[in-house]
Amino acid sequence: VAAAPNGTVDFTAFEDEFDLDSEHRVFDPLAPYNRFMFKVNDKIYLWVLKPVATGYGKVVPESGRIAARKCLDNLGFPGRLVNNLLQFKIKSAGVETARFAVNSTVGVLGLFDPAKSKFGLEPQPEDVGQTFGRYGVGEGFPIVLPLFGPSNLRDAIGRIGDHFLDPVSYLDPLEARLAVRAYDQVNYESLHLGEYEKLVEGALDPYLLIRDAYKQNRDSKIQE
Amino acid sequence: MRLKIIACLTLLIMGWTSVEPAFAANEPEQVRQIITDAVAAVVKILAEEGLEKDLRRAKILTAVEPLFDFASMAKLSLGRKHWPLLDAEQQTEFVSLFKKQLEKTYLDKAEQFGDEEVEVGPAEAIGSKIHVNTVVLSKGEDFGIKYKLYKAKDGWQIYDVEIEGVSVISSYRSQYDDQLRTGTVAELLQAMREKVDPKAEEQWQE
Repeated sequence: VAAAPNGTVDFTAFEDEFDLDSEHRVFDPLAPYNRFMFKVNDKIYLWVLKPVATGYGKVVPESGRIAARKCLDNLGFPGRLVNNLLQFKIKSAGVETARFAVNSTVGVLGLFDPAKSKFGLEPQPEDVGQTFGRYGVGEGFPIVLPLFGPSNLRDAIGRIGDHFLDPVSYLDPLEARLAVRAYDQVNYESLHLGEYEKLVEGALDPYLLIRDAYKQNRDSKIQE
Repeated sequence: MRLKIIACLTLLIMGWTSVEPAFAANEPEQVRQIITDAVAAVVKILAEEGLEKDLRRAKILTAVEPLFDFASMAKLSLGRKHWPLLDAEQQTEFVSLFKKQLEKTYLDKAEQFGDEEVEVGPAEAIGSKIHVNTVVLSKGEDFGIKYKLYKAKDGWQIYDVEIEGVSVISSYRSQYDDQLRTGTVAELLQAMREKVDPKAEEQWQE
């Protein structure tokens, strides 16, 4: 390894990128509740979601699960279209529309993604929280939602908008809607088993890691 | 947020108009090639069949280790305020524990993505640094991984990695900052020892 023993790097060369003096503390007024809900979600994942997803993953081959994922993802088109338009991303809105048209037909109801593999049309995901962010709405403060996990005031409110833009929300009866949502979650987890554990395993404080990672991830998506 | 954007823009414009560029015109392409080669090497090792897990991990580390400036990454993660609080011996141990933790995280991620398709995108010149964007296609999903390099004494080295917009350095920074605000350096080092090697707990108690 070429690096000198204790890091020859000059802090000043990096201060525009990292907050090296750690002056900016995250405003987290709900911290006690958030930590509690983080633990609850952690247990729900470990005790319920993970065993169910593991069993399901053993029965259904991976290719089938990926196809199901794509199909459900394809249904999220209205939300992506509206939010691209609200952010004046006209080209992205067009790409999403073309993707939906191609994948719903040639892609057999969205089970496959020929729009990307054949036509190079990349997904342009946007949600209401990102649209708010684009319009300069700050995150407020972190909130850990039951079942859904890390969020913040802006994105939690955005979820209400996402709900109304999601066709699955209009399924009748309620049982069918819940079944689709639960299936989507189990299916998703079956494709990502072990990732959450690996992530928090190395963390000194898992709650802080997930909270900050969520914020960074959302900030980068809003800037795109 | 808006202020920050304006500040960034100002810096960017100042960067553009400054007299001499930080590096030669062909350097972004060279750096991109370094990352392309490293990614190809790792994908190849991951695709090797019948390789024992520990041996494979060792091979991957040998391939990528020279690219990472672990000592500087450790120093940046601790930050300007906390770094001087450690004496020389503690600094050395901190760097070594940080390195082990980062290696573990890196290998876990590499194994998770397996021998998937990796696309190396364009290299961006950001001030005196060069960022290389890559996209890993895993199980039908795209993951953006950005390698951030700076010009160290012995050539270009990685000082940070961003996975889906989440910077490794920023994530470690807030963890260490929080620990040192409420605890001591000795406690932080002990917590890190336990994370890297669960057996360290017993040794400590003896």
